[in-house]
Amino acid sequence: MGFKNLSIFNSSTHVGTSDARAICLRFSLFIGVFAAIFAAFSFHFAAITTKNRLIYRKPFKAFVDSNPLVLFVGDSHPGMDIDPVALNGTFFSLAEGGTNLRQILLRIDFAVRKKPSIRFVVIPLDYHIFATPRYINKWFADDLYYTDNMSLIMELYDVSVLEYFKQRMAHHLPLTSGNNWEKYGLVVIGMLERTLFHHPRKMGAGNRASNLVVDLPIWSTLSERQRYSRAKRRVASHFDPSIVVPEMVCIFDRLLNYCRTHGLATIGVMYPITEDYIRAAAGYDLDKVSRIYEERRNQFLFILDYRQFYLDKPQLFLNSDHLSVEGVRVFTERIQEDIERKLFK
Amino acid sequence: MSFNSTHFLLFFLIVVVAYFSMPQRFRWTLLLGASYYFYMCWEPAYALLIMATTAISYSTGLLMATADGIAKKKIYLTLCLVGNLGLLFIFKYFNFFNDSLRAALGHFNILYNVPSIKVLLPIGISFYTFQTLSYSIDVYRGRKEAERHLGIFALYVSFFPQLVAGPIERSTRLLPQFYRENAFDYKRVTFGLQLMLWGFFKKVVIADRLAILVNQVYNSPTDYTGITLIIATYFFAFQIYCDFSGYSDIAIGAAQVMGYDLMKNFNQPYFSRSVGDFWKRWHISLSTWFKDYLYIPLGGNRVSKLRWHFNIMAVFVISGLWHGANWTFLAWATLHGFYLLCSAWFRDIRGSVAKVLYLGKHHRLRECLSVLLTFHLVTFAWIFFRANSLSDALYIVKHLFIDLGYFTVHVTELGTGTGLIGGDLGLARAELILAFTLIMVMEAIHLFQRGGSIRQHLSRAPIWARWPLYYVLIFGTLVFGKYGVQEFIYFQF
Repeated sequence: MGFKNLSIFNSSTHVGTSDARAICLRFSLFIGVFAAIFAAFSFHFAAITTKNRLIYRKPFKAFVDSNPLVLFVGDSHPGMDIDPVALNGTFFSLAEGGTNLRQILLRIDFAVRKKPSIRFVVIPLDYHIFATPRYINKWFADDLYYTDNMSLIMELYDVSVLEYFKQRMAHHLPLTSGNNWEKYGLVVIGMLERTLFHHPRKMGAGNRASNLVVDLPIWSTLSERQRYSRAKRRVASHFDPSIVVPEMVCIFDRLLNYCRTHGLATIGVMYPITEDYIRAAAGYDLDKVSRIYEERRNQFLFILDYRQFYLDKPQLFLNSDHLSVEGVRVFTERIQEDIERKLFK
Repeated sequence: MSFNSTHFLLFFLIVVVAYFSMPQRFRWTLLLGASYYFYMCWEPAYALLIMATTAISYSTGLLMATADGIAKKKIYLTLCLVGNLGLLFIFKYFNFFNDSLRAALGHFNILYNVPSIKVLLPIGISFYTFQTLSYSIDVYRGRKEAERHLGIFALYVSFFPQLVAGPIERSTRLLPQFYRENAFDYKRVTFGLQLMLWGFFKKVVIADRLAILVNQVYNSPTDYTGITLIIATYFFAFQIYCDFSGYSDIAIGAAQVMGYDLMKNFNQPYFSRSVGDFWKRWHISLSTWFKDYLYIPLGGNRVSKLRWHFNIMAVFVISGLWHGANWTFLAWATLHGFYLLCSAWFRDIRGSVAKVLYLGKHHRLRECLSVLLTFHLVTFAWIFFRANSLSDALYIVKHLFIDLGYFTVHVTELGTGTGLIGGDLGLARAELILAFTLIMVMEAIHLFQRGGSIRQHLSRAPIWARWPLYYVLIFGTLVFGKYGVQEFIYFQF
């Protein structure tokens, strides 16, 4: 082994005497400056995402202070379609956009540990929950905000020790992960967008944790062609390449089993979608998903199907499968009434 | 393990440290082990394919070296070609030809029941197959001694920086380098790292940003017309360049860090003055491979005009097939072959037009016009390369200029997500502006590089001037990078 052409403070890279120490010094200096800049970025990231983090953690803190009987879990369908503020004391929502079945189970586990008084869990029974896009999301660093059940995480995510370490690291030092750098970039570009084009920041109706600009017109104001084309893309992003990943069905069974063993009754809900969504999804094997639910029907206390509830009311939708502010108001009222009627009357 | 992953960065760091810490005579074992590990991260079973390719080429090479008489050599070369191309055919082309035959016979109501093979395309198979073929042909022609060291030969086939997407190296260049002792050279290491960094930037910041819009539009082209299709096509031209040249830069840089020189794969291809010139600057390792091992053996241009036309089209059709078993690649390559033939047919007319327009006196203007025309011809052909099917490609071609006037007037609505033109492009307005700016900056750098290598300029600059640039590039890549959007495009070949 030999070292050629080194000298730390020489202006050129191709310099003087052979010197292993010089390269170590130069390397250390480079890493030192790198670390300083990295720290600066980390502070800035922490500053601009503080609000998000607080918003993200808020429902978990609020949950501890509440005394609900019925818990909503799931992704953006319950997360955006149900207004948590409009829920009466019987209900609580820990639903959040993009949540997959693993995270649903983690949230139920959190809820059961914190509030053994929970009696009912409302689980989404949508077409996309077993599909590849939800399966491949194995990012659990954000879940570490509310759970420390490592054994359950390791089992559910089936990750290597290295991956677990990486995500643990990303939880404490967010910018050690590409995901968070991308988030950072989005925030920076979002700021740029607002500065350049004076866009006001808009939020989705019930999407309390999202800090992204939701700049969508009401669904009914779009042309039929635009609606169909957007629905098609939405459906593809939900189902492609595979609408059912067997591992997700196993996790679903595990989730139901967890509820049963912890004395929780499960309620299934199929959330409202538009006619465009149904039309765009026609090419997919939706029956395969329906069969999964049908085979497990007896494991649910009851199932509420709202899929076709607002088919003739596109004005209640924000996009092909999320309700508008008005839709959220109507639906939040409706679902509470329906569940209360079935449970208590 | 993709180049743009933390897994690779960690892997590369460990390999480099281990490489320079161990004596030269053991380094090939480290690199061979690392290369197989690198490849097996995708699918362990496919390491068997590389082993098979290595075994076939190694043994036939030795047999050719000891064979007495050209006839025997020819037999061994044929064995090698059949073995290697047979593997390539089974894994890459069987289903394509089988399905095409079934469809063709179906038109005549002939029942054809040979089932498709359910097999995942082994990553990089076309690259390492062509690399080993070049070795075997060189041994057959006597240009290269047969390699007797099985380990070194296996390393030549599987060398990890260029294993999955090239550059396709010649044995005469790469094999001797594995015997050379590479001491740690600070300048070479920094040059390699600079190139890797620039490659990462091109891939993660530019290519993957453009990919968002390109994928959105090209995955459902019938939802779009006019300027959105045009923008997606221009973006794809730069996406594929940044993606593939980014990969090549990382590969060449990674090899350079360890002391190996890989061949240059791109030379500012969008500044080409003709389609022929473009093929001297784009994917150079493949185009020179085709020139040396197919075009010239077919007779090149030292044959009759008709035969020369055949040679050109044959090379391009095979090049299209090399890219993928799909009619879209064949159409793309055929179009390029057609461009070249047209360029020869209309040479006199072009000269006359230039004379009429006084372009002969304005060399700069003529050069600019040639570059612009070539760029647009190449970009038009990319439509066929990127489209998911021929019918999609034809739809795009037919609708490129629909309502162009309306779109031009309403161009400010692009990326707003509203209105006809502002339909969801996947990128918001600030992102679109950033994407355009990045393309401009990259091309400006290319122009600057015509005056000499930036790395050479940098190496003469003091630390206080160089390091800030490194940090800007590193943190610029981190902040503006897109992660997990798209695998390297050429991995599929």
